[in-house]
Amino acid sequence: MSGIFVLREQLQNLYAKYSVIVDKALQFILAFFTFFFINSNIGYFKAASSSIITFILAVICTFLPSAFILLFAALLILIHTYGLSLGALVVVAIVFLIMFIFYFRYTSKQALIVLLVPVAFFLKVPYLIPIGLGLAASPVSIIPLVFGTIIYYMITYIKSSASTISGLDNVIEEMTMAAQQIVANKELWLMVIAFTLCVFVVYSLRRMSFDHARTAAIVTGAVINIIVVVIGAVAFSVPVSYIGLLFSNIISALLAFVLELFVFSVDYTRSERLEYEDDDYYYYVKAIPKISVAAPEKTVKRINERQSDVRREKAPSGNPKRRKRTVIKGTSAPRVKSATGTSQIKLDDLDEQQGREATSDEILLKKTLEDELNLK
Amino acid sequence: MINEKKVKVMTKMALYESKEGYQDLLICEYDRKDYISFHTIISLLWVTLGYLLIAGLVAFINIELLIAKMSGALVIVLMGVAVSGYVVFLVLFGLISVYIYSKRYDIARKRVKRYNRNLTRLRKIQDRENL
Repeated sequence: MSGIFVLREQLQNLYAKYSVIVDKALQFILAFFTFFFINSNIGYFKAASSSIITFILAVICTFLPSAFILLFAALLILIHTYGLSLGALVVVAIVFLIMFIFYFRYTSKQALIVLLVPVAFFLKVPYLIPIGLGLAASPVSIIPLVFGTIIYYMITYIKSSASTISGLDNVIEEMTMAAQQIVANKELWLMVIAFTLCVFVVYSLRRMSFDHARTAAIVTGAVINIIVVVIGAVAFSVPVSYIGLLFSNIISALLAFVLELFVFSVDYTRSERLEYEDDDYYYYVKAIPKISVAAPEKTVKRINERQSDVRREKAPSGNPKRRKRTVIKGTSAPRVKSATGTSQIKLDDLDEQQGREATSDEILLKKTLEDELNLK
Repeated sequence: MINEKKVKVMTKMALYESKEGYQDLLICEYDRKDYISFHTIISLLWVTLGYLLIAGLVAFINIELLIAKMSGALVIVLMGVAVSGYVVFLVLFGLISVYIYSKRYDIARKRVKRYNRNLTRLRKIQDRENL
């Protein structure tokens, strides 16, 4: 376990140094996956669906604020929907506008959650997102989570009903059909209910003060997902793969454990590059956060028998092998004792009499001295 | 010679300016009451548009049913439901907007005060340097 903690702190240290590169790399990966998911599923506007366009868009988004990935993704979805039908485009645009008016106008901080949901569905681990949000965010994050789920099911609906929509006569019919199908999707609302409950349960449990609360929260979150989806699937006759549901939740819970260990419980403070000036100088400052990486816990094997508080006295005559043990009290400083031509510093005396355990520095010092003086 | 203390203060201030600083200073140009009421009114206008879009979408989904059962009484009932729904939306999002914008203003004000304290410190350091 200590190895994991050391690895975690080393990652933290590494991130502090190279945060700019790491952030940009993650942003590129997220943007690429998002655009790839959109283009591979609903690439009806051929000019915008090539892999070169996907790559170029991902590169552009890497150098813009992360909220721009959502903006570009929305535009890409609208372009592809326009390639399919005008009626579907109007409905999808209205849905996006409602999302903007009621949430993103107030805050764009959690915009990435909207993108992560379709990507997680694409990677077959959608349950990771509600568990992760319950662990790391507040219940307000349910709103972008629901929006992300709506976007995913909207894309799958457009993909599956492309021929039906394009076969309709006029725009009004297309709009009615698209709106009805998107809103009447039972699986969508079932997932929304399961995710919402999961976030609430995980969030409530992880804030409790009992031991292993966060572990219990992850497991309970996965169980809640399974129970709600199974009950909903039976009650509303929604076709769900139960084996897929089970495995997806198990993998999501395992990934949530990994995220908990390496992401949520670590403060990844980033380094900053600043430029400013005064009357005399131009300053180019790189501010790196102070992070102390703890040394691995060392186990010191005791080779010599403890002789700190024991003095061997000569045994009574008649039995030269028997010796009497007497406790010495009041020794205040480390003593140097001559033994077979070498000197041995006894730190144990000091530690025990000061009523504390040796610090890691003292243990290391002792071990080094023992090695150097060949006391093994 | 570079004054270490001055560099530290300037770094803190530059860090703030590069992040929330610009937005905070814009917010603090307003009086608290003006800022909250202005943004709440803008929000309510947006909410009106959002409500119209939602109502339109709902009408589109149920268009066949509406045409089949259209009558004078139904129109009055639907209008009543639509208006009361709109009032509920306005009150709800009005309250949410007041809460969000008052909190945003208070946080920005606190940060700007800290920034101003740093400015004062910097001026004192510079005065000492000039002596």
